[in-house]
Amino acid sequence: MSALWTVPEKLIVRQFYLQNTGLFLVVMMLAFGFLSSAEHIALASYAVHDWAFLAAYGIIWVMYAVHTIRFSLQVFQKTDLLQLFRLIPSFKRVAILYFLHFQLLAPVVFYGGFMVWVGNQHGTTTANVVVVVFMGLLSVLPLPFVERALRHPNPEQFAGHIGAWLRQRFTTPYLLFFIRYLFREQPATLFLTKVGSCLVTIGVLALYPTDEYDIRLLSLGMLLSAALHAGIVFELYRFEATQLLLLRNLPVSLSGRFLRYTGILTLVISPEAVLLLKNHPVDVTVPAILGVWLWGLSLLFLQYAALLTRHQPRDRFMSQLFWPLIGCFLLIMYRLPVWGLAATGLVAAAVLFIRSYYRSSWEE
Amino acid sequence: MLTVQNFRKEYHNRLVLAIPQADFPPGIHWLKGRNGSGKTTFFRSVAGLLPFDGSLVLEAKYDIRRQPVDYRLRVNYGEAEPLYPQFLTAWELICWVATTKQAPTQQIDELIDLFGIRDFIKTPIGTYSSGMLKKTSLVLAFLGKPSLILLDEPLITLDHATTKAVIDRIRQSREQGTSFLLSSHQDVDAAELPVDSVWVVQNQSLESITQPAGL
Repeated sequence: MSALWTVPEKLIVRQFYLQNTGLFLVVMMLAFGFLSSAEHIALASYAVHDWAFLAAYGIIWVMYAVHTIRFSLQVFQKTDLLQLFRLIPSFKRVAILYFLHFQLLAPVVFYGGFMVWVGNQHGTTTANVVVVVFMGLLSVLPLPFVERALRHPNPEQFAGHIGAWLRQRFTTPYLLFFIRYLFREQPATLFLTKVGSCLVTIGVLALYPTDEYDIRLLSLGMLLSAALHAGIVFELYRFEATQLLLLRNLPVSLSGRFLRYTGILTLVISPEAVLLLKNHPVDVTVPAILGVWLWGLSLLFLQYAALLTRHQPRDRFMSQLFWPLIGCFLLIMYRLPVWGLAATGLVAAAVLFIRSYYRSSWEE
Repeated sequence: MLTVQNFRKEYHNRLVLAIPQADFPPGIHWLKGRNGSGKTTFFRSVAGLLPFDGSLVLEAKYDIRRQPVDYRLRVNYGEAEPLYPQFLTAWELICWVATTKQAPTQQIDELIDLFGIRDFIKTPIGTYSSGMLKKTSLVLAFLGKPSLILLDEPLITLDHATTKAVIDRIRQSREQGTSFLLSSHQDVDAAELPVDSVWVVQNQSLESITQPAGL
């Protein structure tokens, strides 16, 4: 029994939480960085009294459940070893699958428990029952999908007629390799990062005219946006180290490589540039807003250069961003000019890149 | 052709390979060794994919650290188990590598036909079998005008016709001045592929063994 449990637990549950460290970091920052415990209780209290608000919670929980199911299905469809699950008697198999996926849903279940606790304080029995039943339904939701995946291993991927037509006529330039990788293999990371980062950008742009703020507010927003991109930066590092190793055999100068990475990171953070340029406050000039954006670009490059300097697993890389973030926060608050910060960041990234590129290697 | 000096490679403070001195003259050199002996690590280091201590100099002119671009223009590598982005096509990879390696257009067509990859060249790599993947990696390894081609297990997973094409191409390229470092666990007829020297990777080092008449 223990092998039946530990192997899929390592392949699915641990990998899910490792690969989604960035997502949980963002959620924790949003949930506990901006909201106090009293505000959490107030939100939950409102939800147990208002069906529409409770439904909004339900939609978020379903989205999370779909994300976990999607991850699990990918693992089942690509890992031939897990096909051995079909040899396990039905009852035992369903039980193991249920508890495996229950672990993936743990964050939602904990929050549901918190809401039931709040509901008990308010005596909202109907809402409590709805939350408990909903949690029960969510917990069994993965089972039919996983059972189906077990019966249809390694499905043929249909890329579509448009994809085939494009492949016959065009080739992907190197600068777009990573962008295609993100869309194809890391859509959740890409979507959550860009939505989070763009929301932060829109938020600081909307906050700016409400009080006597200065450009430091925009720089702080860009600092938070850059931090949210840590998962994407790590994916760039992993993608080139594991799937595009031959890149290092190609005769390209270090300055050429530096420019190419600048191009890739520019593409990654270009939506924020559009938002800033289109909606910048009237008293902030275009050169100043470009300085803010370049500050963000330099922070992305510094993260990448830090990975080249010293290989880090994803979770450790994320956790070690905390103190550099505090340092950058202080630099901004001490009114250092944003163009100076951006230029210093880019020069530091270039120096680290040139010193470390050929010395770096991916370590399992 | 290739001079190795004070080469040292460690993983997590564990010594994998230490080569005080090794000189590979122009020719075809066969590296032997048990699984895990460090052959692939050596190939990857020579190809510039892995960091290491020591020096590698090609043709007494191109140092991997001082002339990284010139060196890489002249050293190509075919991996034992190539791994490429699944969503790209072989054509996209070939175009990209050919541009950087300054390969002439006619060479691309010739290699595509030689290794028989035209039928699937514009389908995603994720749909390839291991043999198709190996053929793609061989096309990439021969692109441009390399002085040295490193081929790690070039014959595994290939069908009989492609195996013969690879051997013929190695012999032909050798006659045109390209040198090779090969590793293979498969036997090759000495009459088909004349090897100039045999080296063995063992005890975390590289040693030349008797000059062979054949394999």
